[in-house]
Amino acid sequence: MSNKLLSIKNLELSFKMYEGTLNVLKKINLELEKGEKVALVGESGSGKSVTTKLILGLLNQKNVFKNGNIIFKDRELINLSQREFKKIRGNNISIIFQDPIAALNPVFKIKEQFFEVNCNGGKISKKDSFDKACEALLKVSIRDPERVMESYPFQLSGGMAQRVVITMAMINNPDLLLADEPSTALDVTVQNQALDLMDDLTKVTNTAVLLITHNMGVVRRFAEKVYVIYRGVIVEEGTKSQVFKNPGHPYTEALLQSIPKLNGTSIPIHNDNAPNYAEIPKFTHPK
Amino acid sequence: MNTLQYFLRRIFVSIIVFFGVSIVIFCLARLIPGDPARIALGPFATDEMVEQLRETLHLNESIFIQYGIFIEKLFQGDLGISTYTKRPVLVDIVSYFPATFELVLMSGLLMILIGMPLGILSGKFKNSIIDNVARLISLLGVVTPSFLWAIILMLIFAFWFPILPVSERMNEALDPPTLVTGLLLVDSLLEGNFKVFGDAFLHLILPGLAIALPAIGNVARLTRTNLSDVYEKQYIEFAKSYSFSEYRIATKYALKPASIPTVTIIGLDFAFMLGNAFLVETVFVWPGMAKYGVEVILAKDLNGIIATALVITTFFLIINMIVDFVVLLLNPRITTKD
Amino acid sequence: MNFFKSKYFYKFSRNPLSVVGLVIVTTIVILAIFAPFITPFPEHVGPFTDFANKSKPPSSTYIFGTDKIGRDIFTRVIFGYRISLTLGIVVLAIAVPIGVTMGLCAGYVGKKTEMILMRITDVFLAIPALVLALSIIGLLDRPNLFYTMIAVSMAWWPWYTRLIYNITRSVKTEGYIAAAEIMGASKMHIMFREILPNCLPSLLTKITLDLGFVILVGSSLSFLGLGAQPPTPDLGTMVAKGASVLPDTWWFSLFPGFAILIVVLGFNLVGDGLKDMFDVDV
Repeated sequence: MSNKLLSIKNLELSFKMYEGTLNVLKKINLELEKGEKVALVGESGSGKSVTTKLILGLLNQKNVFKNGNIIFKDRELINLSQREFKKIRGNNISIIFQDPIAALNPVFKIKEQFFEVNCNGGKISKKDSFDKACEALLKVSIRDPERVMESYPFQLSGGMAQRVVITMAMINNPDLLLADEPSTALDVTVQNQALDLMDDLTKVTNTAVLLITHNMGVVRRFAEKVYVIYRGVIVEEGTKSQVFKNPGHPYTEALLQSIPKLNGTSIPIHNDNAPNYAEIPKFTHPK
Repeated sequence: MNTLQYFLRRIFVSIIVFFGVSIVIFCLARLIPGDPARIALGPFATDEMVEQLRETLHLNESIFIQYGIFIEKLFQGDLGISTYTKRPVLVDIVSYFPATFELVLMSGLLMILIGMPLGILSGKFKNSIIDNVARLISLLGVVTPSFLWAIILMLIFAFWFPILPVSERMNEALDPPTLVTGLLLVDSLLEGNFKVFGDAFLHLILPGLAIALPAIGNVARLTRTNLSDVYEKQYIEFAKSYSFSEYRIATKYALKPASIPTVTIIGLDFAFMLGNAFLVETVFVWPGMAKYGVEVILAKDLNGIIATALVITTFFLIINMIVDFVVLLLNPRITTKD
Repeated sequence: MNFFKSKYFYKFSRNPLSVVGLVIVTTIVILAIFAPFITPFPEHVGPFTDFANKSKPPSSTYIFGTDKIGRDIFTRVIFGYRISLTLGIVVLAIAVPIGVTMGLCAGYVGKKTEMILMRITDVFLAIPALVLALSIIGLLDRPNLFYTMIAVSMAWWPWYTRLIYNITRSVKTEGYIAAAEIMGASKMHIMFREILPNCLPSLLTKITLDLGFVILVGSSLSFLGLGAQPPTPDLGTMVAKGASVLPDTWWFSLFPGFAILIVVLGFNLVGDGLKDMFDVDV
């Protein structure tokens, strides 16, 4: 049994559309160990979000073409049946989305949605589900969990909703947490709270985290290992300090320059004469 | 605001709309070219007779006074005398309305019981054969006028394969049940008279279907669209990512948010079906409000026309309130405010 | 020709039914325009009788058969399309400008205008279209095609007001509206030159769909005897006249009936195609 929790090898993904075939992922490789915190950074359209969908087995339409390996706990996921996936989702692998309020069904109370999530961990009564959820909500500093449970999603603030969603994701002690831009929809003041919360919870359960983001600041705060992705290609791979101190690929440099600095005098200008980043080969930092 | 406040506000708005509509109808009625008194009395009436009738009907007063008198009488239950049937209009309405009411209720039932499941199946099995067949039926329903459906249904089920009746509410040979509500189905059940119940039910099918088919098509299409819109939403993606059972997603988590706009459409379609009742009652010789309405219009019976329009509007307003109430139950956003 | 290659037409033609609809509508319009030249018996449209050939079932000479006084039903159906299409165009030509202007004003001019206009609209929307049209016609002198057009227009404009009102409300908070206001543009300019173009996709789609539905309502009114009067051939009237002699001379009613169905179907399919093409919801 290897130590690698998740191992993605030569993963390809393309969509067949009117304009032609869109190659979204071009043979990417990615690895996560148990309890490791890994960031996948890239701009919009780089293919990072779609990777999470593939891991969860949610891309099965007719015009989707996928190839390669996604190995989770020594198990091949790429062509797994939906039935098998149902046992994994919400249980071994959880996901947090960008907009927490949009992720919750507006016409059902929080307690009902918790019930469904709890069922993934095994048969459970509604009362036990309620209690279990309240206990978990207390741990994320929600002082009156009963009120939250009886509320509807639109009655919660963004930060509160995100804490609820994170709790739902962690309640069955998953091995892997996928976080798709978890702080983007939140106010800056609340962003850090959410990230800290994720950090604390996953430490306790030794859950690995794959953090998808375009925000280098978030990466620096949270990740141990970094993969930089550009247009479906991984262009750099290394630990946080390696990538931030000695970026090996010009695209990574460009990303780092885009972080606003307190002493910065000039605004980084997007250079139209920038090289075609995709053609510059990948830079892997030494392990 | 809570449920009670919302409810009261809706009633208040409905009352205002009712008065608004009554003003519109009243003004329209008074705008007709020609003298209503002369038309009522016919070409052989003398000038004195016409003038006398004009006085009785207050036609020489200002329009505001006329409207005032009209409203006053309305609340006393006096809707005037029909120049067509020569009876008090109220009596006409009471004798004809239940037939139409029962028919529209039947149509409404068919619309919901056939339209919604059709739409759900369409949405769930999008682009499959089930979907395509359902969409074809819906489309044909929507583009075919009710009177054509009435004729087609008549041809098929009465002439070519005679299994269903095509006129009146009941077989002439049978005795009607004792009059309680005027609704044959209800009255016959109250009496325990199942034979009449069955007969009345059969008589309701063809006209009910003819009225309902366009609405069925409409509801099916809209349910399908609403359902597939909801399936695109992120909270359904969340539900799938967390292995909510497919069955529960389809019947609960997707259906409930999708039914909110659907219920609104159902309310609107009741109005639409009321319009179709006018056509179908004529074809099936159904002794209802709509047939009466067409006849008073052709006979230029002012009181009859005004009363019919008001009754129909009130009916529609009540349906709308019921619909709003159901939406209230489904959508927590409206009443809960923290 | 370039339009047919564009992305828009691709989206439109994704659903083959939309193209079918377009073919139907185009065919009917052409048939209606050139009716006197392509129908076998154009003289049957006016006062004409031929009792020798009355009530004949469909044959090679009389494609849809003949009616009670010997007139060719096929010819009369094609001419009937002229009436239907004219009705549709005139009704919308009246209802759309009224409804759109009211919707723009209600959405943009001010709170008071909004309240008054929308309350009036609500009152009209409270009455089912057919009922309202019936009431209006019924109260007029002698029913004829012109009165039918007026009555149906009166029942139709509120739907446009509501549509435009909703779009205006969501558009008026956009940046370019504020920019125009700051630059001193008049309210008229903003409503008609800034907001209205945003409404065009929904408007065009709704108009297309409505052409079919107006014809539907119009034929329902003529079915009740309130439309064009004989001997003018009107599809609804023809169905009504044939209803009393079912099922023996079924062709009296069925062919005109199906003619109505086809034209409404055609506009409906094209409208649905436009919906997909513009990605709107009316």
